[in-house]
Amino acid sequence: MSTSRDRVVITGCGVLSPFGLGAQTLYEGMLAGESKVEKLPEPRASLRPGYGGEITERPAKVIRGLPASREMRPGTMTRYTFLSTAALGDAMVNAEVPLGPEEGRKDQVAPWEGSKRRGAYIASYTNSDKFDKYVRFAHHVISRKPGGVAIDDSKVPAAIKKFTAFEFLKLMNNMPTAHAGIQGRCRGPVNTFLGTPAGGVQAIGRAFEAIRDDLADVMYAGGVGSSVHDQMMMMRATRHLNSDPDAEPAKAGRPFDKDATGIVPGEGGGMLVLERASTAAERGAPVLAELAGYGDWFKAPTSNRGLPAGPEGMIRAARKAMKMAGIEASEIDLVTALGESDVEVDAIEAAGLAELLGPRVGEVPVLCVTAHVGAVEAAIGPMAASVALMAMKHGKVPGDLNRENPIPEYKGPTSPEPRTMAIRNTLICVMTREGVNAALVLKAV
Amino acid sequence: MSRQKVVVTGLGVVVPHGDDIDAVYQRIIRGENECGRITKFDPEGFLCQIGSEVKYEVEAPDMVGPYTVHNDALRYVVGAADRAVKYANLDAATGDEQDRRAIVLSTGVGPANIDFLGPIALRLHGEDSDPYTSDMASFYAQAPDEPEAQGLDEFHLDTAAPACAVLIGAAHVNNTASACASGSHAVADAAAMIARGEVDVALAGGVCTPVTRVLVPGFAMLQALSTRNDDPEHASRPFDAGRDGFVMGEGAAVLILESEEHAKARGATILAELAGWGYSCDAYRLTDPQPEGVGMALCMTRAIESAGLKPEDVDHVNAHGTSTPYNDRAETLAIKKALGDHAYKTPVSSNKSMFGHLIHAAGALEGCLSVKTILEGVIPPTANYEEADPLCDLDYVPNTGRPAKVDVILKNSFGFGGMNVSVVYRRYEG
Repeated sequence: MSTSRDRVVITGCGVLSPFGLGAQTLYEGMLAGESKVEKLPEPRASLRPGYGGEITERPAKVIRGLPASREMRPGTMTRYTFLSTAALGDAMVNAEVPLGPEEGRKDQVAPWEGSKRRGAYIASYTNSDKFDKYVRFAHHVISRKPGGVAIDDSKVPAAIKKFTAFEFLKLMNNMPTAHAGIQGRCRGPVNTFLGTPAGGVQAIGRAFEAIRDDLADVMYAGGVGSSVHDQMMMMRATRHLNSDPDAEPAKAGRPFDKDATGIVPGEGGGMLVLERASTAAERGAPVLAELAGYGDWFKAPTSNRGLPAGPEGMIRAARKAMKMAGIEASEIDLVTALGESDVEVDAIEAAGLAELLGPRVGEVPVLCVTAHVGAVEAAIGPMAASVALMAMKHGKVPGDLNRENPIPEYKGPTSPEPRTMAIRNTLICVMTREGVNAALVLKAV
Repeated sequence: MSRQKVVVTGLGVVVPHGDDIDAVYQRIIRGENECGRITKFDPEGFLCQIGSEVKYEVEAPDMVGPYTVHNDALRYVVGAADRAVKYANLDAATGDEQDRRAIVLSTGVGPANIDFLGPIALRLHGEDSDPYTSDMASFYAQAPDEPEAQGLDEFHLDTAAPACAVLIGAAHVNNTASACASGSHAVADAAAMIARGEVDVALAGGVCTPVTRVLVPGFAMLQALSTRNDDPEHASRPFDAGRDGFVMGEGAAVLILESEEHAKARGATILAELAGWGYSCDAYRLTDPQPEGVGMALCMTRAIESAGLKPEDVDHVNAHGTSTPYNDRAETLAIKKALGDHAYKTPVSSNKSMFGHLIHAAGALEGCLSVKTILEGVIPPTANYEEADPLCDLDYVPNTGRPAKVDVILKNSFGFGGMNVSVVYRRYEG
């Protein structure tokens, strides 16, 4: 293993959000101060909170024209895989990555040499999105017993025939990455990061290390998330984490605001194309920014499923990323945050930002994608990074949607209108209830 | 920047053969089998009725930090981690020292237990109603107050890696999945973190509990599982001409990895060196390996090169060896591509012949057994090997453990979706 410690640059970003395909589309929607959180159709309208940021376009229409593989069929893809393939396809187009032929069983195209130095790390909280289907399966296999019900095993063999074989395969947690490996022609390292909204940032950070460890020259890295499907909405509802069903949907996502009432369901996918700087230069790739630092820090929450145990983990993760990037707090011009819209969690995050930024806390804008599209799980970091890259490119930062009455712990600036400014360094922070915190530093080039 | 040497100082398992790695290894080299007819539910009428189950009471803490150890999967992995930590005589780190510790754990398939859905389904649909026309909306409106709906937490294992982090005091938690390659993937990723100097200690491994009413018939529909229901002990038969699929196994396995410098400084017993690792992806199909074994060979070659070795240095291949027709044929081709003529002189065996396929834990369990093989000098056999397959023409160590001095083991793990990882374990020479 070489440890070349080469510089790593970002040559493309891809996003699928409720605003549509493309980082620029999301960025423009945010600049316009729009929210895509809307009432959901029944039966989910009856599941608290009844609204969310949902992508309503048909998957086949979204991915039409993007780099694809023969394995990308509706029967092989969950919602998460759809988000991943769309965001990755968009990123590949933007990065203008060369793409060799897809190897296949029938035509036996030889493996493409260029794929050997390419990999994919993708995060997804889960890959299971069909609660109603599980319930229906359960319905077919239960029988009434004294004192309740029990699974009747003799009914399972018939019930299972209502499913196709691919329905089990496609639920495996590594499937978004498996698709990415084929879609992106990767014969380098591929892996999936699970279990936390920080996973998207972890995937990017680990992909950054994979290039610096000389395992690959190009890495696709990012995350996907959906909390507008019934399984995730129900899980959040049973934990009483979702926002107030009586809130006006477009006003429900309120990061760092006193009137926030809880998590707003959302969905999206964000993907970056990372490249060794020297390789990107050789092919004349468009360079959006340098990925200069990564850090993570786990701090166990106060209780199982409880609140983060203070801002320490988030601060340590960010400081590790800043140290690796060789920058001080005084050099940060933009921060992206989780902004969960839960007052208690936001207060902890705000306290962390205040400590991190010190005297500059009142000057550095804090960008929150969640205000516009809801909670996008492991996509939050990559989507925020993509918007930040657009802001760095255009010199304009979207305004702070629904941050009308900031909580006292929030000491940052608040502006409903976009701000024009030069951005040298952006800090991407994701603090999570699970206690896993991760951060990136993007440097302008 | 110099690369740190990575060593193994602890092993922990909770698997069908037991929860003491030394005893488990002794049973494995004797060729003892734990595959049998499933007992956790009545599999009569199922396409596949075979599993490899943990049938004993697992001792594990009820709580780790804020986390409740509330289901089998958590008991297995916390139990395995606890045993590995004790094996390594490792204390939990505190303060800044936590920055030097990491967890890389694979938990891709959770409990997938549908038992809790029964009452929900009954409440929702009534026993005789048509579930496809039922009123989901009214159920959803009540869902937050339904105690049964709390069972949704069973679908996820997102507290497993954090619980292990509390056990050793780690500040870096990675929860990963690459299907059947996951266990070795976790070991390789953890080793890379130590090698580049990011941390000094890592706990790496995986857990899987796939012997359920959903996953067994589901994977059987994929034609991945053996249907030799009348002879379950002989169902897992890697590289044998009569193989027809794998057997689902459950359990957890964990390794403690350290930088050599850290292990020496604290006086730890070093069990083996983790000398190299390689990754690749087939970029081919979701279900099938690349038939020529191109991707598999690539990761083996990368692992050997990463260890600074040559193919002829490999003394033994601990194969992925699932017992599916496709995998074993492609893996055989790949071993020949990676090792050249040396492949024919190298004993290759599959531990899965005795405990089935532990999916996300498989690579870590077989890694633990590889370390034991180096220490004890007996190569585990491939059990149930009766009839040679002309397309699988290597030395598969049939049925009987083989005494041998083994210094270098190449451990393969390959996953659905074409995700491949190989790890090189080497005798530690202080």
